[in-house]
Amino acid sequence: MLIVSAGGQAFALPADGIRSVTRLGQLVRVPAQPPHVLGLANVRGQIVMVIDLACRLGDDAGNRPEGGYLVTLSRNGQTCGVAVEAVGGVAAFGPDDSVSLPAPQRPGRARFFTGWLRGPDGLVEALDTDALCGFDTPGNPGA
Amino acid sequence: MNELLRDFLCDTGEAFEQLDELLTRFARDPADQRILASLLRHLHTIKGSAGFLDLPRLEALAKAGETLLAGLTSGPHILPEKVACVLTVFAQLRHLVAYLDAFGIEAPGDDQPLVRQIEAAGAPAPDTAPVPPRVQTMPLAGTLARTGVPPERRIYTQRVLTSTLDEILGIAAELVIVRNQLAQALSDEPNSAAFEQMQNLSRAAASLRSAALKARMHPFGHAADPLSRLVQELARTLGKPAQLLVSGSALLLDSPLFELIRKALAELVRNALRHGIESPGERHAAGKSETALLHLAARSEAGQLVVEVRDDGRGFGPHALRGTSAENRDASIRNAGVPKNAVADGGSEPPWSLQDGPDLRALLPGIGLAVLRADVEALGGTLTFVSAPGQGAIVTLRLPEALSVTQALLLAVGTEIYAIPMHAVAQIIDLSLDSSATLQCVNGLAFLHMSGDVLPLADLATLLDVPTPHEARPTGQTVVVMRHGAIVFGITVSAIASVQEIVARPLPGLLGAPALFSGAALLSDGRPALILGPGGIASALGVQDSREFPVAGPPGPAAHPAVPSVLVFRDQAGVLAAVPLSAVMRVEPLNPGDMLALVPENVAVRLEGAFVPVITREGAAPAIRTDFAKDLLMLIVGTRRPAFALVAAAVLGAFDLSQPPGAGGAEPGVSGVFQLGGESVRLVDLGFLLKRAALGRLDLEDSGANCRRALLIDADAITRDMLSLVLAAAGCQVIAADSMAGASGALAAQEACDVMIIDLALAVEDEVGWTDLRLSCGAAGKDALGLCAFASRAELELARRLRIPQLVGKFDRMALVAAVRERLSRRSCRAQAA
Repeated sequence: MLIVSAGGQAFALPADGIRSVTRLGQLVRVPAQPPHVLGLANVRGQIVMVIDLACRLGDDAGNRPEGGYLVTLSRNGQTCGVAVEAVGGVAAFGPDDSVSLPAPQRPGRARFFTGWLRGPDGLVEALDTDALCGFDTPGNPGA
Repeated sequence: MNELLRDFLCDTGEAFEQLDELLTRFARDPADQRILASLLRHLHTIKGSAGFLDLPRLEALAKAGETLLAGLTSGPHILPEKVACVLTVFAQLRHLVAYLDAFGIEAPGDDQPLVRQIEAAGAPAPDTAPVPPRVQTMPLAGTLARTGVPPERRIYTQRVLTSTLDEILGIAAELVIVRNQLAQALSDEPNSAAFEQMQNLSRAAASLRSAALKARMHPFGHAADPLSRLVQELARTLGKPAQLLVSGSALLLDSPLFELIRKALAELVRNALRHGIESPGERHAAGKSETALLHLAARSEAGQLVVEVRDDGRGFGPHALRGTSAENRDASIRNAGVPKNAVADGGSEPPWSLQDGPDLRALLPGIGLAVLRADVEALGGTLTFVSAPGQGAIVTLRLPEALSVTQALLLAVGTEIYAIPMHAVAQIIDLSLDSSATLQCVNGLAFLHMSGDVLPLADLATLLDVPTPHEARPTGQTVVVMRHGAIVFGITVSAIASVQEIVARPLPGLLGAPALFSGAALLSDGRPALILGPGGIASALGVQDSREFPVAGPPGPAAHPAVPSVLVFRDQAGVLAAVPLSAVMRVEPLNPGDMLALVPENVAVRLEGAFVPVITREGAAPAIRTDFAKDLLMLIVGTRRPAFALVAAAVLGAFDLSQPPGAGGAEPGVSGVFQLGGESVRLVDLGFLLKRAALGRLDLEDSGANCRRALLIDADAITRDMLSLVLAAAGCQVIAADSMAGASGALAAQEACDVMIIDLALAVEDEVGWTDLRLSCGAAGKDALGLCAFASRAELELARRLRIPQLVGKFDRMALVAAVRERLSRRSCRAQAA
């Protein structure tokens, strides 16, 4: 799992769909999109839609700090960039690291939640990247 | 071996790899309809390509096999002899292809005995057991050994996955970003060795991008142009004279689309000639020209590739079904695989294959259409049919473009940049400079008044909700007039950023399809940019259904958006003539009191503070005394400033050309002739008149320069025409050329030039030609003006290397005119001093 932070909290993203991690560069705004869609970026010659992780998870879009990193994810020919504040590194978790606790109660967040993991620095929320990036509902970034 | 033949061999080689497995399954279960359909599809493709490439043995054999297989698909029982026969067909096809691959020509010989045996095997009444055909296959290995073709003489091709080419394109785009970062880092050391190396890297990145694109893209002309031979051949065989016209030849198509379109065009052209075009007698009786017209056209439209095959035959509809029972008609339509909802001419259904009679077995073209439709739909496209009974038919293929290369205008809107396809741009107006265009706001809606027209106007910043900080230039000063089909509208932007050739890609699938955008592209500096679709903006403006503006007429050959509109007028001698409507600024009465004869051969009027030559359709000055008595009109021709005034006795109106005009013959000043209401109309050659007007203008303006030839070299026809008008309006005699060779030829014929204007990209492309030309043109070559879309640091460096002392923007007409005038003035001073 790749450990990233957004909105001051740590999250775990499955490492198998991650294509690259780069510094977040210049983005081009796309009109008439939901607030978590930051715009388009050039990732190794490919035009990729970029979403803001914190905003996607329910934070206010205006609170996003400058800079950060771009985690590019691919699944079934679809590519999506996820903007995060920091990247903590890759960590391996076993079945014993899974902690049975209730899902976060913030509105709209539960559908991205796959479980709690016990990390070296405390509990980490594991996320479903398919739901996060809309790989399961292409063409509808607001879903 | 030509490229098309190599492609055919590659395709067929791949097909045979799949066929091995299919034939094995077919031998095991000959009644499996899916296998039969696949085999039929392969045979049909081979037949079509072989016909296209003039390989009669392969074509005849594939056709016989197709007939046999088509019989099997409907037959209840399949005899083992028929299975053997099918296998024999494929074996023989494989031998013929192997020979073709080895020698580059079709094997000599005759398959007619085999074809007859196949036909006999496919006959419906097998009273006696059919004799399995004895097939003489060629001793291929022996032949090869005897002729001893050395292996190094063969040209090898390799199939590359398009995803691999995409990866190479991506790497090239990444290189551009690295180049930009390097340029930023080295900006303080422009004379360092590292800076020079960076420029080498930049050129290599550009070459890599170009080579990768070339590998993926093919011009439409490569698919359409070779069909003229097929048309000639079929026209001769069927006794139906026909002419093939191709437009959009330069449009680049992505490889998968190219393959499909090549096959589709051959199929559709064949069908049109066999079934759509009438015999010369029928055409004569219907009042048509005996020579039929087939028009193949391609264009890129809102992220879709649109290919049209249009003929002026009988069309297809109920009228074509005379003598056919309703039952057979319905069955045939089903067999042709044409969906009912694909017909847009008021519900008439296309009996595509019925001209041969009611026997469905004879209707192979119907099967071809069904195959074609399936192929088009497999790529996410559509195939539609429109018929105008008695006037002709249009078959339209629409395919989603995975990739297309297009010239785009980059617009600055606040702090953001958007791209629009250049083909959708009709005009660019700077309201601060052009007093003939004005904005008006009525009930919150904006309109542009221009040359007597009122156009709806959209403010892009508002439409796109662009945040406009104080430092950004407000929108409203620059208007881009756009055209979407027959709809014309304007958009206001902050500024024109530049013109670039972009590789348009579909929007990331996760975004969905925002209606305003047709795709996205990476700009030369590596930034992504959204491409605005003209249709989306028109919809946002609500002008799609507006009755205020001209909209397309009923479907039919007369409603083609690619055909230009013309203004038809009657000249002083009563002859009907026409000029492109886009070139006419306005029409005014010709007041004799305004006309000035400065010298006997030149007449001018004063317009917008300048003398503008007045000329007749033949390019001569009007005889003032005799014309005084008549109420004459003048068509003011030009773009932003009048280039000349054309004398007319009356204006009949604006018309869309229903078909491209015919050749104009030897009459000077006439570029073509077309028919209007049974009368011939001469299409005026604007280039000829511009030259005449410019000759007249030499004596009108007192600048001291008595020789003003401007040589304009640009490969792009639109830029060339546009700048020719601008230069002519500025008083130059323009010699326009599309290449260095063309420029050399023109100079050889017309002696010297005084100013040389060269497209920078063309000079880079043909550096040797440019150097030769520059050196042969003396002072004009030494003092040449370079044209570029945007004079960035890299362009300036290129110009320095190519010895081009000054660059001007292609769209900055004022700067171009100023630079030309400065040069002419300098030359004049030097001449006087000498």
